[in-house]
Amino acid sequence: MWVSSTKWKVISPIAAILLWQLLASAGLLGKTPSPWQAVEGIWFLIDTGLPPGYRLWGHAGASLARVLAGFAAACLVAVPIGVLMGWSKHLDAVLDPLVEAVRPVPPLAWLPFAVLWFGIGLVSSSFIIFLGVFFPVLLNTVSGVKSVDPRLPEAARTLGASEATILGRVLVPGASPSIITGIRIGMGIGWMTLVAAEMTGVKSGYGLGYMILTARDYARYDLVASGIIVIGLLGFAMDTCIRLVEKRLLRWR
Amino acid sequence: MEIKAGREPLLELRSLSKSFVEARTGKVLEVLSDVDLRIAPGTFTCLVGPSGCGKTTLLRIIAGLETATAGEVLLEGSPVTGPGPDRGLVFQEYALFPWRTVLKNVTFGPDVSGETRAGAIADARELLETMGLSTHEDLYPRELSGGMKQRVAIARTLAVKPKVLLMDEPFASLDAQARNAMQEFLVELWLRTGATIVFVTHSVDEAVFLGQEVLGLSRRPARIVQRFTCDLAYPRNRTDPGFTALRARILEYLKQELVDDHA
Amino acid sequence: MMRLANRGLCTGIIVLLLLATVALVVMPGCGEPEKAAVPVRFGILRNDLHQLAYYVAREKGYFTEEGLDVREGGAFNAGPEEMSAFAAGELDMGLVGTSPVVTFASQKMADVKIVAQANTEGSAVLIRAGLEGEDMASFRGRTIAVPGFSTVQDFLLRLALKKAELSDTDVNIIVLKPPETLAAFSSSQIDGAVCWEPYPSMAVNDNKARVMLTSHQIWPDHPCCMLIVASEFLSKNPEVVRKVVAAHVKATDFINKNKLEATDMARMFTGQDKNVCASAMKNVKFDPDPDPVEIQKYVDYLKTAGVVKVTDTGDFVDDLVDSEYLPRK
Ligand SMILES: Nc1ncnc2c1ncn2[C@@H]1O[C@H](COP(=O)(O)OP(=O)(O)OP(=O)(O)O)[C@@H](O)[C@H]1O
Ligand SMILES: [Mg+2]
Repeated sequence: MWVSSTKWKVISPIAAILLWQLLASAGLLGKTPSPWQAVEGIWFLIDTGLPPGYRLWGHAGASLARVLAGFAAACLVAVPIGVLMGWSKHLDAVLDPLVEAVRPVPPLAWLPFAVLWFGIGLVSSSFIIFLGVFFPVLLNTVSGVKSVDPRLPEAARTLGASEATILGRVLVPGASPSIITGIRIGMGIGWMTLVAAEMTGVKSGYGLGYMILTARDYARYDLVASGIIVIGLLGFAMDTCIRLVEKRLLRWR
Repeated sequence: MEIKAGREPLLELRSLSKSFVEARTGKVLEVLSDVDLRIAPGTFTCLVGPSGCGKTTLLRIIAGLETATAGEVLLEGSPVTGPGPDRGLVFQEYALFPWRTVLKNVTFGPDVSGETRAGAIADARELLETMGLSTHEDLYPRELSGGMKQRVAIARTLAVKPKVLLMDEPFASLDAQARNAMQEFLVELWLRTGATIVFVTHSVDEAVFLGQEVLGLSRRPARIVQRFTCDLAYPRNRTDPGFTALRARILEYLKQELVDDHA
Repeated sequence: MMRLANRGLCTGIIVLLLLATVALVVMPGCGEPEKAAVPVRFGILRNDLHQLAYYVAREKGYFTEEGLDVREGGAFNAGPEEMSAFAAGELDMGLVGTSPVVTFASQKMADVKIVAQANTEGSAVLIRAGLEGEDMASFRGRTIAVPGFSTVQDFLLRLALKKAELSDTDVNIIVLKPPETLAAFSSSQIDGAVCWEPYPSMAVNDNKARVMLTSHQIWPDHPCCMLIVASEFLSKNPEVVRKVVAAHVKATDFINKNKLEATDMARMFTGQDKNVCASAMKNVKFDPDPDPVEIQKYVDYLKTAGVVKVTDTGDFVDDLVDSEYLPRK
């Protein structure tokens, strides 16, 4: 080990970007934009916008709102259902086949129905993100609850806890490491489904995924790269936030 | 301290039997057969028996975590139907809530039964004080030694003021030194509080050190095959001739019992 | 021992890599027998009536008559998608809207030439059935769908808005692919749309929308779909291109001279019924001669919008359009 792992965290992305720039400068990448062009593109998006007038903050804000809405809804639905499924063998037996049948369907396949049910707008694209986030959170919650030491709810029972108390105060905290892992995976998938989600059409004209499609339409591949970088940075920032929360919440580990 | 005959028992088991049906094979496994037991208030009773004979099952039935196939459990004359804070169970593997600090583990019971927070915390602090854990109240279970964890587990159970304390091999996973210390601590606690304790172990030495009465269980299906009264004064001394003699007698008897059982 | 074994492995890998390189270099050379026809990978837009000439040339055997091997290289949902395929070098020739061609060529994403035209006109501005309004002004504050930014339809919409003295911000322009557009009409998600034929006729036929303006009314004889060729393919196979253009012109003539049979073929090509095709055919002008002056208007617009960087739009169009391969009259 000649460098510490924290140093690697900084070195590896910088090295990747340098390599990318080198290859681009050497003309080996053809029409693929260089990192410098992508950065210039980000400036263009801040300054002029794409389509002109639709600036980066608007796109980022709209996407963030969609991702957060879909993500929050998915967590709010998936965690309680997952806790109940992990707690009750009967409910698990009833719901598990359903979950396993729906889970492999790519979120994009729901697109026509999303438009039919929710129209084109925030709800529709959030729904697509919801589908991406829902299953990892659900499955991790179920397995987290199932892996809680069975003596803990028993101990709680002998201490006078009701079943509802046990769900909330024993199974949820016991499953929390697994739930948070699910949430982190879900958040990543949420961003991944963003471009697909924004293909449902966005009424406002704002959205990073939508902007990437627009950049494609305008043959501005540099702006496509800029959009990818912005999504990557936002995804990274959100993952960092979740990790911080995780660190606080799971101090006991 | 004497077991006063004729006094109303606090806890009574009446011809308790239990069998499990193995899920895979469908075979019926008889674990307890016709167990009768009366525990007077304020007594310290030890149950010894070979591994796998059904000791844990017996305690779990008393705690209400398992239902008997036949017979009944009476607490102060009324039948037990499920788990409740009147019977405190201390598990062999501590079963502390790892996400709660020492203090919050102890206040769990009062918290869920709607006791006021301030009162619960004050009581818990007092308990921790007597357990010698005052300086550790903000630590998480993973930061504690085995002996400390077991003291927290006992404090957590005592915090709900159970009428009877059921302890399932609580010191089995401690090293010899810590185990001795915990045994002395438990005796001291019992003498001070006058709690009613049912203590399961497979160590005859431990049973003789702790109990006023030692009950010998047979192999599965467990029955109570012998009662020994230990009227040695507390605190006991392991090198005391009375102690070693009694221990030897129980060991001999149990060995005999097991051989007979096999024959 | 270890060292030796490693060295053996390294040599092995190097030899393999060399062999692979040699194979890559040699293969294209030996894969092309002298006489066989050069395959032409041809791209079209899905269900776009403007591109009927391709179907006619194929079905009537005009390509084979010329000794060509034209293969369908992909049917795309919108022009920018097809242009992305040209950018990736996946297509040799194709029919696609002027606007995406200009966009991709000016960004140097796709190196292509326009060698003929497919049609002029043939799009329409639709308004959702049941909505009041006879002119563009009634779209104020409403949502209008286009098949993509920088498509011919996007351009037409902005032109129509400008004529009605509306700015881009007076309406909400969104991107929806034409098949989804029809669904969005039925669920009242959009109030208007600009589509290529036969979608306007389909929408009218299904009572989902009515025509507010034909593209003829917005800009008479506006260039629409073009026959384009990848520059590299053109320089290697000029004669092939000439023959494809000849077949294209012949098919276009056929359409113009045999409206009835052409309508029937349109039915096969687009999968729509007779009524839809008949009304759609009336709105499309099939004309193989591209007009550089008109094409330049697209470039000018994209330049003012700040999307493309072209210094002299006139020079750019002169370079882009190559009418040299059209049969002399
Ligand atoms: N839920 C159950 N289902 C089936 N069999 C069980 C169940 N619980 C316990 N048993 C079986 O009952 C028997 C008695 O188990 P128990 O845990 O009560 O024994 P024990 O005396 O506490 O053993 P040890 O000394 O190892 O703690 C064992 O053979 C065990 O496998
Ligand atoms: Mg046991």
